[in-house]
Amino acid sequence: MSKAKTTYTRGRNRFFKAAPLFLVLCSLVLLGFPITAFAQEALTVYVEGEANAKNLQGKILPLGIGDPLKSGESVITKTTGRADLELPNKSLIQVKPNTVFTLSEVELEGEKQTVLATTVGSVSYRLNKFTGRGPSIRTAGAAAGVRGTELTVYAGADGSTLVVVEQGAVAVEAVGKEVTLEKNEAVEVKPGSPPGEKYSWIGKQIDYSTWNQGKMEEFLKDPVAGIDRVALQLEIYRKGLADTLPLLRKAEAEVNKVYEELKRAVEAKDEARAAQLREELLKGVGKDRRILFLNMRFYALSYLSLRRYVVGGLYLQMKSRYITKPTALVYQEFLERYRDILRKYEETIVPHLVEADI
Amino acid sequence: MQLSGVFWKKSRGIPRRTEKAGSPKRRKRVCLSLLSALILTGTLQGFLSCATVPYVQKEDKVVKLVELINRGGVNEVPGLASTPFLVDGEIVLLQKDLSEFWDNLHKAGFTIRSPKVTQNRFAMVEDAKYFRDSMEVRTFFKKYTDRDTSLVQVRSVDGTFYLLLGREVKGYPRMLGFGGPVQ
Repeated sequence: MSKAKTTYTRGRNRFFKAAPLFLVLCSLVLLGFPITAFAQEALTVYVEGEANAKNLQGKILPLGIGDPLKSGESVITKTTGRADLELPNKSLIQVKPNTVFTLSEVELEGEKQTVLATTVGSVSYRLNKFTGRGPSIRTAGAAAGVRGTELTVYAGADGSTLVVVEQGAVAVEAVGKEVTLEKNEAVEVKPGSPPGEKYSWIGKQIDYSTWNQGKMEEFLKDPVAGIDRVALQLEIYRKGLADTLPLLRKAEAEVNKVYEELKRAVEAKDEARAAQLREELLKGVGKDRRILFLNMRFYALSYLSLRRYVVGGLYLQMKSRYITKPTALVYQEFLERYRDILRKYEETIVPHLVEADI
Repeated sequence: MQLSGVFWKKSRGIPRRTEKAGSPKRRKRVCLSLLSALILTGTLQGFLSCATVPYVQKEDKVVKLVELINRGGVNEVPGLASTPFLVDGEIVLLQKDLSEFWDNLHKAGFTIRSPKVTQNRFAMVEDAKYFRDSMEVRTFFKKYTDRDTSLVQVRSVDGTFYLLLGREVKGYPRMLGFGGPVQ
């Protein structure tokens, strides 16, 4: 243990001595390059049918047994596809067919939290106890905090969520309201709305396709209300991003100031001051900036996922159903809202995305 | 029976001096052999690269594809329209969404009547504007189209359509994108 600590200290000293490299890295961070922490990784332990992974470069490649899934990467399964992932603490994640699942990280109160997000489709979890903060299980419209639990999350094509608990307890939160589910309980959450009433699912066969079809039928009865609900959820992400940005800019200015001072200290060969400033960049203002940057990316990428897989999916449904009657009032009203979402997306979210996100 | 160098030399009746390995003549021969091998490899590569010459869409194949769309048969040809796929400004990554799109189009009675290919050329990033002029669509063009991808404009009584097409799949041009109708 002490040997490992010594090695780490020695490595850290070497790192600090490599000042030019360090300064280049600092500049990259200041320029806003998406440097993601790869602390959390999942391992692919089983693949059936067609399952792909979207990597950090934005490339879509077939997923195979033994492939790691890094923070920021997604699994996309086709109609026959299924993939099982294992977390370092041996927790199991089963990604079912027609699903988009993303592994990412946010920082909360100075601690990293793994985010396991299902944008559309269904994912089952068998989670063991975690040391430190447990993962946040998310969909487009809800978040669930868990520790040692078995549950399945269904994310519908209309942005709805269904959380079903098989073992343990789960706290489902949406729009500031929380519902605690025990074994054999389930709750549904509509996008941009608080969780509904919880109910017992024992004796009810929950099949994702049937449930999702029901959600789509519900959407088609009133597509305008349906897209308005999704817009509410998008607005939550947009607001989260808008609130984070000024803080991030402020933190960036602070980092810049310390960085300039560090440059001067290095030029003046004031080693003591330089070491102090490096520490400040690593643990003080630099850490604040990194947390805010991670959170900004979280909001931007959550918006992108919901916009692409849910709003995009709804657009495809409406276009294909109304292509022979494009002047229908309901279609025109839907399109008006769809274009409004796109306009806001282009103006407020796209500037914070990079090509690899697409 | 072994055909040795000695036999060959004798059969020609030409007496040859034995060359030591590393002698200038030997080195020259080795160099010549290497040069020939290089030329041969280059020629072979030239032939093989014919397979990567940019693919040009044939109009009759485009019309055949339109007929297939009109019949509602896109989902019947595996790999003809696979994800990632562009529908107007939307990048479709879920195969299920794409399959439903084609099914719904057919159920809605959608057809492209009297199609005429009015433009057929290699696709460029700038062509993103025919789908939607956005960072996402431009990225789609950069990432998922190559020198085999054509932008085909089809005019019909039902409006103008833009198709992004690649090499053939079971006799039809593979579809990468579908945009329109633009009136």
